[in-house]
Amino acid sequence: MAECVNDSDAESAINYGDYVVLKRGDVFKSVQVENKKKVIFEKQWFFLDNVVGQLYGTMFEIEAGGSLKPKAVKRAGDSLDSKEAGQDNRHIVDDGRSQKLTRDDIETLKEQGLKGQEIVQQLIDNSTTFKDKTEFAQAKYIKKKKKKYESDITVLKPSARLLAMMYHGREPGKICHLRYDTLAQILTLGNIHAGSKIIVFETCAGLVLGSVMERMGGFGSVIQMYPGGGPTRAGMESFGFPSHFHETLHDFPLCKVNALLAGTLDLTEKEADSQANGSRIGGSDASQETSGVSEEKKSEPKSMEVSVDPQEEVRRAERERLREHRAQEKKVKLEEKRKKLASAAALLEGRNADGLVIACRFHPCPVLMGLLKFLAPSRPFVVYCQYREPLIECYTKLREQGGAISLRLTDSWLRHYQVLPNRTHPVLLMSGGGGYLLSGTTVATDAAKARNQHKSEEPAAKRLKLDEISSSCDGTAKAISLV
Amino acid sequence: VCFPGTGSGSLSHSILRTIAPTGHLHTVEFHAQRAEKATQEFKEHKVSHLVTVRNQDVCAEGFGITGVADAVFLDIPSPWEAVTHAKRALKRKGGRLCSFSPCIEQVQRTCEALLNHGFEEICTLEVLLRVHDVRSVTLPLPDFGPDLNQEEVPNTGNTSVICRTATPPREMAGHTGYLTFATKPRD
Repeated sequence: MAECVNDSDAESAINYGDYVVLKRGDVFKSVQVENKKKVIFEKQWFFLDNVVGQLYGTMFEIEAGGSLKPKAVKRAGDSLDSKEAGQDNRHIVDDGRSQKLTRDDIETLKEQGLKGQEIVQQLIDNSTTFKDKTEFAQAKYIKKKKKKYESDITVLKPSARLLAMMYHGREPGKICHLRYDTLAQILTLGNIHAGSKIIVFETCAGLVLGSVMERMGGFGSVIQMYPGGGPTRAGMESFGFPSHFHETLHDFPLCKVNALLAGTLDLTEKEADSQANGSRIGGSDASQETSGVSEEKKSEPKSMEVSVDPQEEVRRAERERLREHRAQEKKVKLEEKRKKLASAAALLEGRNADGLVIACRFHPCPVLMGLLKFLAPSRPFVVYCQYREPLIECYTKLREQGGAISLRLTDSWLRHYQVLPNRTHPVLLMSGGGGYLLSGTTVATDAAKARNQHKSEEPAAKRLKLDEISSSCDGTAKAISLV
Repeated sequence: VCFPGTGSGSLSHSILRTIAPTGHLHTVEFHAQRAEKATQEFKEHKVSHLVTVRNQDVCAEGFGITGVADAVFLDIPSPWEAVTHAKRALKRKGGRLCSFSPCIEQVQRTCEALLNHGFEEICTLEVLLRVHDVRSVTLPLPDFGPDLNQEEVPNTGNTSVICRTATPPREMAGHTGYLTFATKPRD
């Protein structure tokens, strides 16, 4: 039995180089703890150096000069209650003059070093209408002022939940407007779990990739397919995974998929290395090499004119050595790249991946049809799209082609509630704002063709019961998976 | 992870799939027979090393563990009575809690209990999965009569258009329950 009470508390404190998530109220920001680096968050700037050595979850306040000071644990019920309250607002006149403190006064208070809570108390004391407000209105007023003047920041350990909420709140465009509950659905519908081999294709800044990796806990393997030059991993880095997690991560360029499927992918050591050398001398590489090369070009005509001088000779030899050194480095890098490509290809070649997750800005249909080939039969796949019609196309195509069953096009409807005594009501409706999901299970194609001819369009409800462990089909089980 | 109300074991399996191979599930079931059946199933599915089933009443006796859980899930009629035990079961460094209740009154009581016990980030929401039926629908085109202004003879063969669309089912589950999430801060 895993009764590990104490050793999990002996956790590492925050260190330089760690990725953390800053939290103030409902706003989050992911940053890396770096020495004497200025961080701007919620219109305030500060240095993170003082968090090093503290434990995750600690709250800090910003002191003058930008240093952070750990704050004592808050006791429940901060004493900002007022003594009296009114019944209703019939006599309260909103003329904008009820607050006696001016903006300058407040700035002065801030400069004097007054803490946020004290400033709020001052505002209450200097408001002519506060005592006439109802209790509810007073609480609302205090909450609003606290939000503005209390600058406490909590430093948290990154998690899929925090990062998903952060991205959705700050930069939804970067993650194709993937809402956090939809992300939870992806992880459950895809049956992402430790020990599996998952293919991921996403253009969500690495958030989906990171969430998949977090769920897998460092066991199994993840192959990230990428369009263009290289994989985007910024969001994934923010998770701050331990280094052994990175060993499970592979990447493979989309442009080589056809070659791999056809069996014509060239993984041998090519003379491309020497070709690359040659092209570099020509100055075609857009790297530091060009500056070295152009320098050389510039200096050579000069040395042609002047007689060969020993110092010049030394410098030229030096440049030659440097160039060779760089060529060697480049060779090593290319070799590494080739090896990585080969290992990713080896994982894909077997066409026996356990799951496929697609969440991108590209049209999902060709992406899905192309990558499904790498999945073993009887495995789940999930496609996220911000819009519905492209997924309808995918659905239709899969029905025609066969190879997949239990196809379901879903979206989830999310609504937050404010729960307070006598003040409980829904807050904001985010219906349909979270994108759509198409999920299904692969089947061996020969069987599928025969089945398609006889079956109706309705997915067999019975089949859902035979689905793997994640048997519950309502939104709740999936929503809590992101707890 | 801890949760009371093992029941059929459906949620247990879902959680086990997620926390394997290094996690552990502590579940409590006050119905002796169900507790036994669940234990047997876990054994059959070769996951019994990952789960501990306790036959007791969580509201009265708690989970039977202290400071061990990263997350607690409550799907019981009176979750506010289990909040103290949940807090004790969660790790000192903190953890997450989720409570599922169909009635808003239960939610209100639970939120109050959470607040009183020092939980933070208390958030209640409702999430519904909506399925879209993908199908082709045939929409007939109207006949406005012959158009004298048109030079070409219109193709009278086309009296309808086929659209590929997705519709929600006529009736769908509108409510199952409210989810309340909270964070237990560091002790």
